[in-house]
Amino acid sequence: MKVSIYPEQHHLVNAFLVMFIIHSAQLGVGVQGFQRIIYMEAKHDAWMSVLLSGGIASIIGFIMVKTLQSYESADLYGIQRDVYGKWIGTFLNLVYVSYCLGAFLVIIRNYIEVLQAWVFPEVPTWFLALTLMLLVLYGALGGFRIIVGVSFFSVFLALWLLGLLSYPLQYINWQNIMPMFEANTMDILKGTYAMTFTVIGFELMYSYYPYIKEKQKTTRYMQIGLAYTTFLYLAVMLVSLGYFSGGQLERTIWATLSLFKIVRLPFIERFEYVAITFWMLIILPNLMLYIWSASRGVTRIFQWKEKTFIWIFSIFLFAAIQFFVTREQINALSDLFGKVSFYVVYCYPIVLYIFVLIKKKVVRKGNAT
Amino acid sequence: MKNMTRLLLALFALSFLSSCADPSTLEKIGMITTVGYDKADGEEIQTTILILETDPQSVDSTNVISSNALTSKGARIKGSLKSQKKLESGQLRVALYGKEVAEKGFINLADTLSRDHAISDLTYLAVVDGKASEILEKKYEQFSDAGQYVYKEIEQNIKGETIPSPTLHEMLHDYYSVGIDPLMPLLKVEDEMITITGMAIMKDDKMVGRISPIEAFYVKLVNDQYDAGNFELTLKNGNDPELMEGQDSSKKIAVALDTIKSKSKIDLLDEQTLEFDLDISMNARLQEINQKIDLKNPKNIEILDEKISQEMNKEIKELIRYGKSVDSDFIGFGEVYRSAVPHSKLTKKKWHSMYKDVKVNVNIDFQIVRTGVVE
Repeated sequence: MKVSIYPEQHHLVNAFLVMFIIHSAQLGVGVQGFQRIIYMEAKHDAWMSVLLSGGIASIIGFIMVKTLQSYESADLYGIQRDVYGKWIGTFLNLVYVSYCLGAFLVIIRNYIEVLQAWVFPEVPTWFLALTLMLLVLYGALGGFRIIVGVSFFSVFLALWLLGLLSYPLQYINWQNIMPMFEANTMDILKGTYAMTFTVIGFELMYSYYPYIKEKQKTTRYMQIGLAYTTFLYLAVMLVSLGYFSGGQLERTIWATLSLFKIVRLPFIERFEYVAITFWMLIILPNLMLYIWSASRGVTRIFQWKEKTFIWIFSIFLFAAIQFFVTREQINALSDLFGKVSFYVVYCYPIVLYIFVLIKKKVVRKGNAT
Repeated sequence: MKNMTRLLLALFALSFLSSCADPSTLEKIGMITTVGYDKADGEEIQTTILILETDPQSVDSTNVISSNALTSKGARIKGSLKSQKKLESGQLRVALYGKEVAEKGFINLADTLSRDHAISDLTYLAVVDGKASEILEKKYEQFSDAGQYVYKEIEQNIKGETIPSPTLHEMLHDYYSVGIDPLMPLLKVEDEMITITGMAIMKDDKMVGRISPIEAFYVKLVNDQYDAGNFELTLKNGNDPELMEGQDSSKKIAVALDTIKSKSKIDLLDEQTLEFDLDISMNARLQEINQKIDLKNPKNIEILDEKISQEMNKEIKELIRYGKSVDSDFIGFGEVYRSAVPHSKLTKKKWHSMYKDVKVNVNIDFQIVRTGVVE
């Protein structure tokens, strides 16, 4: 297995598209109900946790790109193979592949749960899974450029949803977020930890880095994408804190969707139905990127055709979705994944970077003597 | 070939779409617009639902179904046994609570509304002085749809800024806050009309008292703001200075104000003695006055400003005193306290024990901006 890969010129994407990929991969099912989880830890100072988690994400993002830039055009799979050798490298690559598949499973199941709880309680899971799967397959089989296209449109077409926040703004009570700094540092850190599931998505940079045309500009556009996500989360969090009282927020599972509940237009009275179904467009790039990353991983390890794996994974995931029926099972899955993703996304990049630095030093010494 | 497969897949998917979600045909569903809860025997709740009649041949525009059950949803299931149509609650506009239910605690019955994804958070909640079923089942001469009437009546009065808004969201917001108690409109059938006779005040979720619409004006004045309200108040002529020279000091003067603009601010002065400062600045147009007072004279306007401020000051103090006597903090001093004192660890119970000792200094700055188009 080669460490660096050089995709053909016509498969590459411009660096500025990175900000759309980053943002669309971060925004997903987490934002629909992250307020409650953070509030339970940091109370009305929850917005500080959001801000802090944005800052941490941006530091980790910086380290990721630094790691990738130590090589010419490698992805995580190549780097791990290079750093840890054949056996450990392949094992860790498989771990990362399963992480991506896990992310896919969590996202699609959570979204189906939202659809069933709010819009179509009578529609069976397999049917919703199948329709979503078909769309995901369409993008994932089309290759990376198609997925980037979907990401770009998902960011643009969902921009207007932000304007809907003006409706709950009318009911806002800023007194709710006072007094500031009541939560202690530990609570705020716990809140930041709870943000993990909502913030992740940018780690996919590890798998699509070779596909970026102007690699030296990656950091800049990645940071813009991350900053925009943080801004969005902060806005949603502040509006939620002002709109709901504390006790109310603790019992609202999908606070963001509940915010849309009071949007009333002359031609449509219940706007959350539109928002929830429209959310599919926000979920799609997530799903496509994760399944694409997973299949990239195994393709790199076993040198088979990428598309075969996409089909295999789809069938496997479709079957796996059926095992999660009750809300408890879904929550257990999300919690477990949240914990795993904390180590994969927040801790591991630092470890990997240190190893890459050591490796480079050793190699340089070896060359010098 | 590849495109062909995709097309076939898409068509395959389409074939499922026709049969999956339950269709809701307008003619086949009974849209619940209003629901009323009353106490029945024992633990049971009598639920009265008002359904919009879509059959053009029907004489009545609504249909009322009443049934008893332990839960409100159970009553709906029982109710559907009496209905020719499938009952849907997506168009629910108003939920009414009978006085007995409100006195026992309304939160379970409000919680079930918020739990149902089909019900809007902007549904109005109100308390009925008597039984909710009476308002809904009664046949009125002047209008046919009691549910619509109540809805429009509440909506109109909120927009006209005569009562504070009682949406489901706001009620739950206040209930789940530590330092504020909810407040709902109180309805009653008077002279064949459904009338808002005031506001029901709650302690947590239990009705403990009532205030008149005039007092409701002061509540809104204190914890909200006015953009274009209107109000009528009576003053005494008084002395030192007297409004009308040479008249008796107990002579009453009625003043009608409109386009009231107001802002209020509550500050905690001392967290130990629980002393609050309540500052209200407001201005209004003098629309009518029932005594001969020379309004051309700026001095008279000044005296009038002064007198109105004093009168309002007195009324607000009285209102706060009443709130304390029934142990209901509907103005929300508790929230001010919570947001001003760090690490207060305030709970509902703790606040209610402190609430009795609250002292409030009321300052009102009132100004008449204009007196109409003639002088």
